[in-house]
Amino acid sequence: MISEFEYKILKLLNDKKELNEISKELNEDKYKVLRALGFLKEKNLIDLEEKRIKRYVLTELGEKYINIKLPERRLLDILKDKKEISMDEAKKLLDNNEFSYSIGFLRKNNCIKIENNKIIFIKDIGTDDKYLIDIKNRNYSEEIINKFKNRKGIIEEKDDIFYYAKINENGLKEIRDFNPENYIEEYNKEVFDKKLYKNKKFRPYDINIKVKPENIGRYNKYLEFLDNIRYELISMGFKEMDNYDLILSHFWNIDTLFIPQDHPAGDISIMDAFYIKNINNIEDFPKDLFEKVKNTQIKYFKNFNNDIAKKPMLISHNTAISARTLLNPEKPGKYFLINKVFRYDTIDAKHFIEFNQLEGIVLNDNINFIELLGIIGDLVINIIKAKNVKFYPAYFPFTEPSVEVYAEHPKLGLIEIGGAGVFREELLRQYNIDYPVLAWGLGIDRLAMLYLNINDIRELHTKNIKSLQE
Amino acid sequence: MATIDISLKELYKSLNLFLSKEDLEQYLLNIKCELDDINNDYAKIEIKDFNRPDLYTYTGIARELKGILDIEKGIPNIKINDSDYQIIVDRDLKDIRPYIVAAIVKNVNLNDDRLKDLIQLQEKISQSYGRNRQKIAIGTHNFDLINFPIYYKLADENIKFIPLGYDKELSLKEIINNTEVGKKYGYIINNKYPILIDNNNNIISMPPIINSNKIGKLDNNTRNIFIDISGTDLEKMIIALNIILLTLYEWGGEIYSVKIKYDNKEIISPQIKIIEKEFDYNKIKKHLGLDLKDEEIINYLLKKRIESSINNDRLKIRYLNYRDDLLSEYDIIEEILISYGYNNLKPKKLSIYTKGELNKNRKFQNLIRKLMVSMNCIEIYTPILSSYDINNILKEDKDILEIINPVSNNYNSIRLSLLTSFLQLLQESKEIKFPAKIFEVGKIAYLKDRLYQEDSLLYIYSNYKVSINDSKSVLERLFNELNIKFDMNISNYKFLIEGRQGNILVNNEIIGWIGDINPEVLDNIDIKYPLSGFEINLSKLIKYINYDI
Repeated sequence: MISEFEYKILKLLNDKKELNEISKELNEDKYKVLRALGFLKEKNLIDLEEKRIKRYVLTELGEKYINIKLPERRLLDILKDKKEISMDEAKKLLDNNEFSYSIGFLRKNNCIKIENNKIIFIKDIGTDDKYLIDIKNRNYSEEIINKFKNRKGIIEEKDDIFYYAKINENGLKEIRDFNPENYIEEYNKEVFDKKLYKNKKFRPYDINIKVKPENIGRYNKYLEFLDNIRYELISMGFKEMDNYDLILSHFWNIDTLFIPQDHPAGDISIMDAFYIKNINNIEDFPKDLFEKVKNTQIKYFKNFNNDIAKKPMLISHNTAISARTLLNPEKPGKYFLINKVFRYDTIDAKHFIEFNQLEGIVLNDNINFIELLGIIGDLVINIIKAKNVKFYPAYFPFTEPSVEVYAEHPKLGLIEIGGAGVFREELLRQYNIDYPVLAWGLGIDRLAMLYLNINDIRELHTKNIKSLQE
Repeated sequence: MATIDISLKELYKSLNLFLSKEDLEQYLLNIKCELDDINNDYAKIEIKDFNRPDLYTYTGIARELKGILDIEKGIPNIKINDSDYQIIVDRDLKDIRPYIVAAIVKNVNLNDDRLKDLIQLQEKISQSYGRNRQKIAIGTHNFDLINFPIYYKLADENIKFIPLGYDKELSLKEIINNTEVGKKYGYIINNKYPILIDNNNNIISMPPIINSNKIGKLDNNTRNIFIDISGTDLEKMIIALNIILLTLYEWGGEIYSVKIKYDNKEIISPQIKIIEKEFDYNKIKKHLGLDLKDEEIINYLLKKRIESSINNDRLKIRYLNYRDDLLSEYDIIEEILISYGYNNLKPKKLSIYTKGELNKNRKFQNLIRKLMVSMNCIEIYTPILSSYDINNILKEDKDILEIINPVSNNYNSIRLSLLTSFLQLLQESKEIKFPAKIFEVGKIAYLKDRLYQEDSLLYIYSNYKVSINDSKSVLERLFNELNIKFDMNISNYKFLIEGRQGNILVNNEIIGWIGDINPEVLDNIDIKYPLSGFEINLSKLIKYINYDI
């Protein structure tokens, strides 16, 4: 069975014809015709011959010589003008290959002589430049080719492939039997209404035809990574905190966490924060808590400034939200949060000013640091897929004891992934909490980069829409 | 975090022990320090605990390591000799920089490394612990050039002396106005000029700004040193002085006290002494999580240079006042655990059963995202910080929240619409494939009478030609699926094409816009794609969901 296109081709092939000729007659792309010829041959309806013919073409260098002329010509032109130049000067004008050939050629033809390391002009002769154009125009004899065959890099051999097709006996029969009326072209409702499928066959498809892939909807890969971690945490019984805000008071970000207001920025990264220009103060805290925090600060750090406490800033760590959660927590309680935090930093492949942080707290009577290490161990194995966890003493203003967590990552080796600790009693008393609260914060962007196979942290945010569409 | 350079030779001499790089690295991690770099005989070390200024010198690191390594345990040694040297404090300083503590150290053995260590120690203490010299400013001087008593008083701004590192006299006022340190720290003394001046009328220093070039300069051959610390926080100043004295004592120095005479009292400095504190031993044992015998706990604390005894459920500790960070039972618990070794602890599985759950906003956002993806939309994720200029195009009647200290103009404000981020992205990378169906769910914030922080949904359609139908079909489907009815009315936003835009309303409340983006606006920021879309305030929309998500 053949397609209409194949039928058209077959009809042309009573005489042996070349591919270019067929394609011209049908006014169809060569590759389409060639593909159809392939099918026809497979169905044994035509004879197909393939002929390879060698020919010569100019290389890139050869093409260039059309414009700048052959090196011996260039050298001769200069000598005609200057009568003599030093070898060194000539070497500067031509490259090594060109130089030795040109000198040899010109000496053989008695155009130059060399004395005292100088090239001296004798006479001019014709060079082969004009033949380059002939080769380019495929208008050449063997003699011309021989002139360049032994020179390096000016011409090269290429195969031209020609396809000759002629119809055979089977093909002739196929043409005789071909009747488009015998086929169903379109698969539509009429096919059912008239029960066309009972008497006719469907015109076969070219199943290799190229079509555009369907458009797709897609989640953002990085957000998908974060979602996956959220589901891991839910499966471990953690509840997502729900008091996140982009803009918070200094009170939540710093003061309530037992950090002195006058602490020099730079010592603690959470103080490398962004501050908001247009609002002077923000009161996003309960008044009685504010008084308690103020008292704690005055007791331990000897000063507290209400205006600083109310300064609005971009959230610089999610521990601020853990603190908010302490206002009304469940006991026992397990909470987590993955959300954006902002830090003043240089922007480069390793640093960006916005990133996501995984934060968590666990509240209950009689829980301790050793259980905190147990939680971290679980998280690291479930989320980071690490083989091993290591713990080292750390310092955070709001926890005691504090620990820095390192994980043995299958690909990255031993990496620092975060910090943890037991919230300080001085902090918890502000919330009337008299039982331990275990807290931890893990960096996840490095793992995300690994998951997404990117080397530049800035690419965690969308940089190019087209690449997501494809 | 403070980073210090130390001489490994001096450290190992002090420990009387050589450590391999790997061992040093591990031991340092166990005292909250991190080895950043080793360069021949010198190491760069990060001191993570900023309540431990005693570690800003190799002698302090050695003191801590000696305990951990069982080389020397318990309270460190130090001896003070009495003397009659006096500092007389003028009452005028009371409201400016009221306190001074001081000491004299004789027969110290300095060398290049030790001198560098001493200077670094002073600098780091006054920077972090001393809040950039506000609370603590330290001066070390050549004792042999001073004629006691010393007067600590306010001086006239025109008095002159040669400041350290200068070759000519400058007046006090010139020092504040014209020198680098003067400009940096001058605000602390607020147009007053405190000086230390000796009995021969030689100016020793102008605290907290600068020493004199003659008396205030130490070199390798200096044997006798006068140290003064001036400031506002007496307790911290005492600790800072003790740290420096412990270091000089380690270098063979003999320490002599100084009498400091205020107009109404006289105190002896330094006040280096053993502090005694009592803690609830049962509480410590309960929260420690380790089953340790009393002797073991006492020994673990000894390794942290703390002596202790247990009596009637009370743990009594004794330690030297070169640190002030032992506030509660938990501080003691940490000392014991660190001494025991974090990596020797056997982590215990948590056995609390709780139900895990996403919060309501997240669930709603996830529902919206799922619907958008199922309509073949591509989700993008853009930074919340955005360019003020692009925000400005979209601001309408809102005020943009600007950042006081932006890192770059691309991120100098908070986006007031997700469209800001989208346009910024498109402006930076012009590549897009038609047809494009793009969405984002994210946070926005702006001012309009008050501060608003909202979750938002943006949908954008782009193609060779676009119309409001392209966005409205998605909007219709979205609300159908959410089972919420919406209305539209005519709007007049400048960033949308006039007559091709509208407000989206639910229950008569405007919750978003829909329309074709104004080509003039786009052309101005060099975007040449037809765009149509909508943006919805999810924080408002969630109120109308009357079923469990």
